[in-house]
Amino acid sequence: MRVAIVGKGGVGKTTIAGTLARLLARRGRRVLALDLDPNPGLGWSLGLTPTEESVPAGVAEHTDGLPRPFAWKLAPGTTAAAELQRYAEPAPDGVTYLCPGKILGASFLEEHSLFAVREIVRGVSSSGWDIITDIDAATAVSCGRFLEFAEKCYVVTTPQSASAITARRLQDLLIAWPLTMLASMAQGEPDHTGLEPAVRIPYDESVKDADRRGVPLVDAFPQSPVVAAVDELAAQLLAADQAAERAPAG
Amino acid sequence: MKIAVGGKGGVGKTTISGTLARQLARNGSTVIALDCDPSPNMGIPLGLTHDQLLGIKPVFNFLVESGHTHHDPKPDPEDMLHRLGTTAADGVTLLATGEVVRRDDACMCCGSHASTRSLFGDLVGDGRIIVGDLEAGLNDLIWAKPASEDTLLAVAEPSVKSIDIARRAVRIGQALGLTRIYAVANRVRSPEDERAVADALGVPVFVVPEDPTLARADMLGVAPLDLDATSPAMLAVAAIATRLAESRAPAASVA
Repeated sequence: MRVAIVGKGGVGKTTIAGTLARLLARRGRRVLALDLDPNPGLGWSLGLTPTEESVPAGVAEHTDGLPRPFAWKLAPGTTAAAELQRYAEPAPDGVTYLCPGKILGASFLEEHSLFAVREIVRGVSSSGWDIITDIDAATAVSCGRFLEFAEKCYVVTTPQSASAITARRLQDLLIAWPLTMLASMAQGEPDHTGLEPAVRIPYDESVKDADRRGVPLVDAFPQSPVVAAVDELAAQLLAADQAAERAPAG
Repeated sequence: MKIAVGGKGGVGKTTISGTLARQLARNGSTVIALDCDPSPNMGIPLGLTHDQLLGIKPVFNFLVESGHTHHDPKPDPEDMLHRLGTTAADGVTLLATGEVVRRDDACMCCGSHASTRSLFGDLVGDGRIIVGDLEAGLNDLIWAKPASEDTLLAVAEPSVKSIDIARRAVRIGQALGLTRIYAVANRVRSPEDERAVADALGVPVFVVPEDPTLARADMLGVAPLDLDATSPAMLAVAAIATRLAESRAPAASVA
């Protein structure tokens, strides 16, 4: 399965992505947790201490003459699997964490790092990985062209009106992907996003406590109802995946 | 005077910057609220109705619809303000830089989006106050490129992730030579919360306490300032407005 998690800032994307990656790994899956946010936070939610390293220049090369987004390819002599091995970090429960890098000073994250990761993911996406992707908040969509590997997107909303507005905008924007809603910090009735939530993830103060300490929710509060709800999401994803595997044979 | 408001997604940038713009206007300044978020919502704290909010035409989208390409010269920011500015509560003029409505618009590094992402730098701040509500993360701070005399508010809540991003926003401000850099510790519930932000950022800190009024306003989709102007968070933002206005002439220092 290859999923991306999108939505307004602060709705819980990273907590959900990190918890989902860990829980899928505990169910025996080979999980690649992919952090496409240039201000990455998924490492913390997995239980890693973030580094300041970026995927260096030279992993992907720019080929002149092609339109910009298509012009990046992995350098000759390298394979996606080998580069994944080199630049990914092992995370708890056997999750593999990959991140292009982060903005460190007054300059943008280097394009070559982003495109190197895109090419690595493209290269390994059909070799049995479950890919769980966390994306930056508002420009989730700026990653449209980094999401071609994803089979479906989950748009996370909270009861707040601004997150529902963003969710509606994302619905219009990500029309190429099957979009499923996840209700986060749900306290009452779902809001008017026009989407029925696949899973309702309840509001839980322990998420804030884990965030305060910068530790994974699944380690600090394994009994949290949020962990239980994300585990339900993991079960849904697995069921859908197994159904899809059976379909071509039958 | 120009004030750039940056930080992680969901820390409260829009609520703080929108309310700040209104408080500055209530104190007698001419204020432009510049919404730099590709999913623009600054109209909410500025008191616009839902329909008004969705009726806003951002600069980028106007340019695309009128056939402007990134090969054309940059648009005149004053002309854009005149054509596309919306009058919001307390006389604040709201201008949105660009809403991403097509997948192809969303280019983080190049294309015509860049010409609108630098509007914060292009609008003249003399005799008026420009409050820029930046997109989540740090990209927009680099696009906005505040000048050394501008003010940066790095908003954080008591979480490791948001403090890390605010810390890097402060570093960017310092690298750009800004002297007026402040942290805003939002949703503070205890002295420890305030200290966590202050210790990590090393710049003067404005504290905005945790306030259920904001969550209530969010649910209703109304401006918290209109729901209860005397709630603790609203009073804290009013104090920021007063402090920033006072510090306009001399270099800032918060005791």
